[in-house]
Amino acid sequence: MAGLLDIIGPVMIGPSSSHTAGAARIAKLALRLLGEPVNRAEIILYNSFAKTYFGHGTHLAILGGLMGFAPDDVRLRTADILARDSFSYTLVTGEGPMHPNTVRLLLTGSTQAVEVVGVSLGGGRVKIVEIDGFPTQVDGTSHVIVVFSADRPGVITFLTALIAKAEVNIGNMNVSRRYKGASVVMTIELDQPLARGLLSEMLQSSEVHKIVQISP
Amino acid sequence: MSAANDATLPEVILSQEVARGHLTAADLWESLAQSLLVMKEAIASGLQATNLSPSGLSGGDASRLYHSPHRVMGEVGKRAAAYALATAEVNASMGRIVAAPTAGSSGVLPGVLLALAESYQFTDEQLIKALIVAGGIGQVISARATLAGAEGGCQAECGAAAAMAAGATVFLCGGETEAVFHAAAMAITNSLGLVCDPVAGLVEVPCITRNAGGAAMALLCAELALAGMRSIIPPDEVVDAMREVGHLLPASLRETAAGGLANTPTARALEKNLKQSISRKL
Repeated sequence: MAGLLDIIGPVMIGPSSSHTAGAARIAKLALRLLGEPVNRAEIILYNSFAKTYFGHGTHLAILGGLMGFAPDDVRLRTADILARDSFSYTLVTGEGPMHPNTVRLLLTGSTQAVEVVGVSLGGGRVKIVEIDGFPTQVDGTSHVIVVFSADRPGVITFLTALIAKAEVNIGNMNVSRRYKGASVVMTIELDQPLARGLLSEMLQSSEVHKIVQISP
Repeated sequence: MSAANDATLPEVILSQEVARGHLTAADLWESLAQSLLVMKEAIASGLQATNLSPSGLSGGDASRLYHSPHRVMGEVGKRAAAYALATAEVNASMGRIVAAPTAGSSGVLPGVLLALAESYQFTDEQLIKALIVAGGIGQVISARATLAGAEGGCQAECGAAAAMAAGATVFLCGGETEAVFHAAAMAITNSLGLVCDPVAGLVEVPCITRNAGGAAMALLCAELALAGMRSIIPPDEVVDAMREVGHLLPASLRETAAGGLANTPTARALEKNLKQSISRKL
């Protein structure tokens, strides 16, 4: 069942919960996944997003989200002007069998790069369905760590043992890899956020390349 | 459920929400209080605005209605419509609103509640409880049917908002819990088949007009329920009927701008002009 605050809420910049607020949310999550400020963004809008983006300010919402603006930030209105001082970007449209409100974001920072595909489900709710080509289900409504690691035995045990030691409960876990021995993206949903020290401990393993913690 | 209105239904809804384990009652209350504030600000902002939206398709009607001396509806009705228009106009020009349940229908609930608050001196605390009742009704509609225009047409947005506002009004006015849900059912009943046909794909025409319509519908259905009128078809089944009708609506009438008002000669001409002026800007 939808939460009470999903019905009475969110507070947002209009005009569309799915094409404005949802788009901003996706972009903000993508920024978190990059882990540093954006230097360059390639934005691809699909289907319904592609058809209505100008009238619904979807492009402004995405640019704003990439600068860290929340869906209720009035700066969304002029995000295209503000973005010019922040990063370079391209915006193209496409069409395909994917969800009507899909956006693909290819983000580059000074040291990191990430490719994120997000979907806007309506009412402001979103889902990140792909990270660097790996299918995922991150919706930003619970605490989650996204771990980029090597595909080696023991990595999962190493991570979950540290989480268990901190007495944090795991709600949901997803492990995705392209092929045996290649890299892996793991999403681990938690009942509480993990302390910075714990995340540093996890990064000490040579198999763990990057961790992003996302909180609601 | 007991017949006492003061906090019984909101308490039930609130405790169910707390039981989900994410937020405390205090967190929820705080968030709703913040939303109420944003609702008031949007109305104030919308009533002041007299210029047209960026597209030119809307703007200035809330102010016009509010200051209009003509009175056919009565003070509460006219104010509720003006406040609903104000919020919808703010939404259309990328202003800040509360999606309740959606941005496209964001005028209905605040329009009704704030107009009533002015006439009957309801406190913020009572209004927040009313928001909880509205939220609870919205949760039922969301679970059994949908709140998205793309799935259920405008039934699912302005119709749902009217149902939420109707129930919230009954609660505010001291009606029984049964009356709350029957008011919601009657609002949905009167919205069955309502299509989503946005001109030029924007959230303006006829969305803004339908927000005013939803506000009026909410007040009507609350009045009926408070007088003892009941829906013969139980509320749950009415919501299910809305879901069924939504599925039966063709895609051309579900937020695709392919049919209805969006497909009129004037709408197509407006759409063409807007596209041309957009490509000049890009």
